[in-house]
Amino acid sequence: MRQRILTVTQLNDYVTGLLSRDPMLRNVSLSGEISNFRVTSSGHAYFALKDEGALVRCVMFRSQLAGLRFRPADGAHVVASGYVSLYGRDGQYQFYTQAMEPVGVGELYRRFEQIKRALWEKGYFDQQHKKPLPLLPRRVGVVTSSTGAVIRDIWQVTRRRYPNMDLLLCPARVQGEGAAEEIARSIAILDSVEDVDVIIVGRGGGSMEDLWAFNEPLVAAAIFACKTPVISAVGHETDFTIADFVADLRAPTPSAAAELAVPRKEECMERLAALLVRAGGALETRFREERSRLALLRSGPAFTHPQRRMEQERQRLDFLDERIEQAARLRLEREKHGLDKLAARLDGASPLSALRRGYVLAQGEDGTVRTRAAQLVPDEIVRLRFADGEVRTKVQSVSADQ
Amino acid sequence: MEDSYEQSLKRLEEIAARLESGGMELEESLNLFEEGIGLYKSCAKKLDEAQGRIEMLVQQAEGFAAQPFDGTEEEA
Repeated sequence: MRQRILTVTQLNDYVTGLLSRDPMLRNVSLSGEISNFRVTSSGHAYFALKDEGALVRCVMFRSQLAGLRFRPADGAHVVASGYVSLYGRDGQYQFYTQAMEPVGVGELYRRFEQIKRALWEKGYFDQQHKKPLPLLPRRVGVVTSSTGAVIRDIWQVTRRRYPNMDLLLCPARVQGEGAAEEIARSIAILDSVEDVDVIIVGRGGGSMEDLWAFNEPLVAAAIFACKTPVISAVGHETDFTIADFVADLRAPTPSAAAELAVPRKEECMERLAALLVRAGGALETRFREERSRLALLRSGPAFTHPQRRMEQERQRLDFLDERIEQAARLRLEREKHGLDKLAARLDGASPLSALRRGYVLAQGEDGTVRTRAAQLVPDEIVRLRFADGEVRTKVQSVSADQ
Repeated sequence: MEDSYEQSLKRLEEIAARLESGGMELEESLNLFEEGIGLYKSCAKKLDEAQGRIEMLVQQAEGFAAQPFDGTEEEA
């Protein structure tokens, strides 16, 4: 029996019919990983969904694409719903996607919000807990994978800014089972190293699942408890994880983290030198002031005309003398008044009154008073004090009464 | 405990400001300046203390040890 010879169109139509009549293929829920996702100028999306061993071509028309609540990208794990049909023109069977959602992401977002709320209430994100970065760290600690671009980028930026800066890596897996534990532990270990003055914690970009370890409360607690300041650098610029909220500072990329952690050595040196110049300059000015002052003194009247100086001094003293005299006179007046009264009382006993009565006071040349004739010798000069004056006389002879 | 770089620098800034504002005996100015010189020297020394090493902590029998880290070469 001769086989019926079909045209290609006929064949494709036949298969199309077959596919469309199968109820299972009219409504399929398919899970897989997106690859080769592209949107044409018409606005329709063409991609493939694959698993470990197989692949199916997909198309999603513009109208349905607009209704998506997430952005499809290569590598995303999704669950898609649609139907299977054949595109006659190229004989490809395709999965016509009508709706699509990332796998488990809804759940992840929910957990993220939950953790964020809980830690926020505990005060983990509070500004008051944030520590300032050191001006010059002795060593920079890094928690990240020992392979990959992150540690390389950090090292390159560090070396460029500060060539002799030391770096200490405490490696940790940054995704997958046990990653959160490793990250938390590495942070604690670096915190215990005395000369590590700042710690960078980070990883490269990825999906929310890839970054998930940095949302774990364990990691947040480790960052919060860390006494050394922590800079977080997780994912891309637009990714935010819990670690970013707890850290003392967030960097959009690992390179930016290194720039924050490490100053430029040149800048440090310049700043230091500038201070020395300031101090030296100020001292120099002071010296100049001192020298001017001395020069002024030396050129002044006190130094160039000593006579004049003495004159001035003398005048000053005279003035002072007069003041003293004035004061003394006033005092004397007061005293004299008192003395007169006293004198009057003492008059009877006073030697002056005896002189007034006609007695004579005899004094030797040396001024001592002679009260007995026996105290005198012949030829001695005697001073006789009368009430109205003094007489000097020589002793002729002395005869004492028996 | 030795002063940190930051503390020394701050003190040096204080000294510079103090000398600039004046009003001190010459003796005091000289003493301050000398202190400033000392701080400058110790800060400059600290800038050069790090040795440019990149190391990785590796678990040992007891605790950790720092080993030179090589994995920073560009991937071929």
